[in-house]
Amino acid sequence: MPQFDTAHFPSEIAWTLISFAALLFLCRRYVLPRIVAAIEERARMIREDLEQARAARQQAERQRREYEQRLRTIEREARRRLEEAEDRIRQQRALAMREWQAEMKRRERDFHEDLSLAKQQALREIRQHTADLVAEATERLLRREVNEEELAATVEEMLRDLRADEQRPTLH
Amino acid sequence: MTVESMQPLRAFEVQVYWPLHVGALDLSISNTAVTLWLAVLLAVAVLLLGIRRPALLPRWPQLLVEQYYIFVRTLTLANIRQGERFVPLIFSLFTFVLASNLIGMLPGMFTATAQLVVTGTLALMVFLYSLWLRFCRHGWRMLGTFLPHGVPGYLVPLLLPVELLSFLARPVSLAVRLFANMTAGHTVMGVIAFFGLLAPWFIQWVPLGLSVALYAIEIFIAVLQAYIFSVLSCVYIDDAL
Repeated sequence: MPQFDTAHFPSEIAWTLISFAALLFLCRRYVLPRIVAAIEERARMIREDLEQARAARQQAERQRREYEQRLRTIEREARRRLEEAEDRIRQQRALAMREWQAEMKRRERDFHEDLSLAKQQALREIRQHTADLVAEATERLLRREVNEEELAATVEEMLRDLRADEQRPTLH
Repeated sequence: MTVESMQPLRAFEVQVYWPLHVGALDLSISNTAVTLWLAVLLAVAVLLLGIRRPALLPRWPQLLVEQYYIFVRTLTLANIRQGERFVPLIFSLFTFVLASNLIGMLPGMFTATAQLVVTGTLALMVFLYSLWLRFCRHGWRMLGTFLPHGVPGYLVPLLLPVELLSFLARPVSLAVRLFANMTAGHTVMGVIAFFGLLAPWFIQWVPLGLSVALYAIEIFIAVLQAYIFSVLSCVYIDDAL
């Protein structure tokens, strides 16, 4: 077989080693860095896209949580305001009721006071009138002899006057 | 054309185009040397053309180059523990053998890997490299690594020569496997093609059709042998670590 002809072995060994060394050098220097760079660049882009997608998902999740939290806060705030409004209305109604009751009591008190005053004034007037009548009657009695008939007539007249006075409307 | 003129082994003859000696070193330019240069230049050119405009969304040339690199890298990492630093070596070895094999498939071209001295040089280079790695890792205690763990002392005199012999047979088997496959394939193809040319015109289609099928098988074998050579190189390197 021609492959076993050793005459060419030295040059073939040398060129095999030189060629392989050249290929190894070219691959290490020019070929592999470009291939690796292209693959790594793509891997980096994919990694970044994945990171961005993950970040976007996290942000969306965070926004959803914030939105839910805000909704809960708004709901809580609305409930609080409603309760406050109800409390305020309840308090205002209670206050109005108390004021109304106080007004009623005041009016009642005023009424009783007025009634008492009117009574007292009426009594005073009666007392004054009675005193006047007694004084007038006494004066009349002192100026002339009194007989029983005149006395009775005088008293009767005085009582009529008194009734007439009672029937006249008062100032109150 | 006669049967006597059939010389399929002539395709493996080394032809010196330009005798060249640098001191004691014989650097004669032969068809082997030219084919090896062509293999290197074509391989680098194809790889660089494929990756010349790297795009994020690669076109098919870039995709092929990247997939080729990923394939060799996966092969290396699968067979060598922490083998990242050996990827350039195995990539170059795979590319060198594959390019040499495929160039030999072109009509009229010489097959450098059908030369035992070429495959032997590559195999010896891998063998010596793995031996150097073994020495760096274990020092002179590397002799002890030839024995499997837990071997009884009385078996050492028997096992040590066997293990050493199998170890030394590695480069031989590596070289002969590639050389024999390439030589046998090309020889068979040459013989069948010659028969096709010798046959009567009405039956020529049988051997010529068969040679087309053999051609496809040879391309497959060219790739397979490059793969086997690289995988075994990885195994030897990993064994040394």
